Amino acid sequence: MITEILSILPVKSLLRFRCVSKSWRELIDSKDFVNIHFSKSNSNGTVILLSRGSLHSFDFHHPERPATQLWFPVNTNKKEEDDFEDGYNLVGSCNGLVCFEGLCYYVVYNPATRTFKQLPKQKKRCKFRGYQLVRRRNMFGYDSIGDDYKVISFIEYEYTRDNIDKRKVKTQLYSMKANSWEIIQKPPWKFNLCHSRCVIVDNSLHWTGEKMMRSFDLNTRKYEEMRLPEEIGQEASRLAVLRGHLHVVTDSLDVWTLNKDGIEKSWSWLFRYSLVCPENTPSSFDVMLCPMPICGMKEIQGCTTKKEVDKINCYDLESQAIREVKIEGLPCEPLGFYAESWAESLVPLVD
Amino acid sequence: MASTSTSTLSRKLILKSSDGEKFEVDENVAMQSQTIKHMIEDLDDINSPIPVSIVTGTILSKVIEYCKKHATEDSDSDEQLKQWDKEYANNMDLNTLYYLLLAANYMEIKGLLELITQCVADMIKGKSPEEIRAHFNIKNDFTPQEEANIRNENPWAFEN
Repeated sequence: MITEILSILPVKSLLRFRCVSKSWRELIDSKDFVNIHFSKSNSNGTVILLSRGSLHSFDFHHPERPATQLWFPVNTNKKEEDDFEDGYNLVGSCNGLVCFEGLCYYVVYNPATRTFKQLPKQKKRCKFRGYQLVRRRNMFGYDSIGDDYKVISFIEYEYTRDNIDKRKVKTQLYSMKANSWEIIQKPPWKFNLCHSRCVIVDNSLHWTGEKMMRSFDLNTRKYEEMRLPEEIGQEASRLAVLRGHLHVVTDSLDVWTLNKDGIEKSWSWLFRYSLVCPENTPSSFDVMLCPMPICGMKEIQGCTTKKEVDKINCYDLESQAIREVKIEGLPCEPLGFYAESWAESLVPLVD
Repeated sequence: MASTSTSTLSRKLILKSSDGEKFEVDENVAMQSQTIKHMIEDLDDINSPIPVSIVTGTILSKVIEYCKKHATEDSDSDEQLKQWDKEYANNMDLNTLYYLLLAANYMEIKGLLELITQCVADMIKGKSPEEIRAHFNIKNDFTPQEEANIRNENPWAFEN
């Protein structure tokens, strides 16, 4: 019974209640409890929003509550700050952990427990003489079979001598259990910087790009690809997960679902959302359109104008309902925000 | 099995608390409890009191109040029902809530269990470890040094 009550408490309260008694500490630190707690906290529609130098969380199930500023090492750790000035990207969010990439390092944070872990340097970047790293594309996820957090990094090198345009690709995989990078088999397709954020289904990272849906199995390390529906054409799309099923959502808000019949897989078109505000149509130059899934259950369509970056249209994948949400409490940020699904968790980060 | 198939709407059941208090309730009210539902299925005589052995009369009357509200399909909207739930839970002290929680768990009333769990969580989430120990009657089995060490792991969690 006490487990039931504690499992719906905020992380901050739980970290405080660890000193109530030995049995409470044992319960709160146990892996089962961490999992139960996350499964409850993850049923909220929370996202994190990253802008330069600050991290906020916002709950789409309670849009009347303003965004909450989260602990972020940029604000607290002076030493890190210099590095961060070079810029950093949000790699991904998984089980309450958030992975960032700086110019030459990676950090995994747990904003709820205020812990972070700097990942070791990647394997020697440049194995080929005369080649330099030019681009990198990373993804972060949890391998539930190996019980391990992993980062996969596709790295493209360019030959810089003699004006010859030659490129090579390396793939590295970080395992948190081993706390090291490993060079692994590269994917059977060309390096492509432009691909969507990933989702995890069947223990594999899935993403879209170049008319394909691609995946990487975090445990078996197998790559797979499948054509997106022909009708999508060149249009950008991203994936969402609803009740464990993959959906593709395009820029013009067509929604497709992936059917599985044994090993046969096929796409079927579900519906198209109609835009509520004509001034928010993608044809306008003033509009940044970036639909993103929240919560693992529902699809959010982030359709924001540059004048109003804090106004977002939410599209419910299940009921197909549309509502406009205004996010209060965000700093003025003309460049907009990166967003990822996120929920508070007690998942520990050990150095 | 009782062979008389009277209309289910008019059937009355008698619930008996641990301290012997008897409550006559409509069957559909009592059926909110999965435990009682299963008991009725195995019951030979519907007229004999059903023992709710670990729940006292005071608590059982509160449980019945909740079940009555949630059994009637009147015009209350979801919003109004939520408001009623909130007032219902807010009128109780932590001690009553705790016994109600045990009762809802034993009687398997999902809605009530969730309501009270959330209510207790809201009540305790801002409390200090000392207050928690006092509320739940927990003995502090850490040495002062051990406790200080745990506090130092996350000092920010102890700030407001």
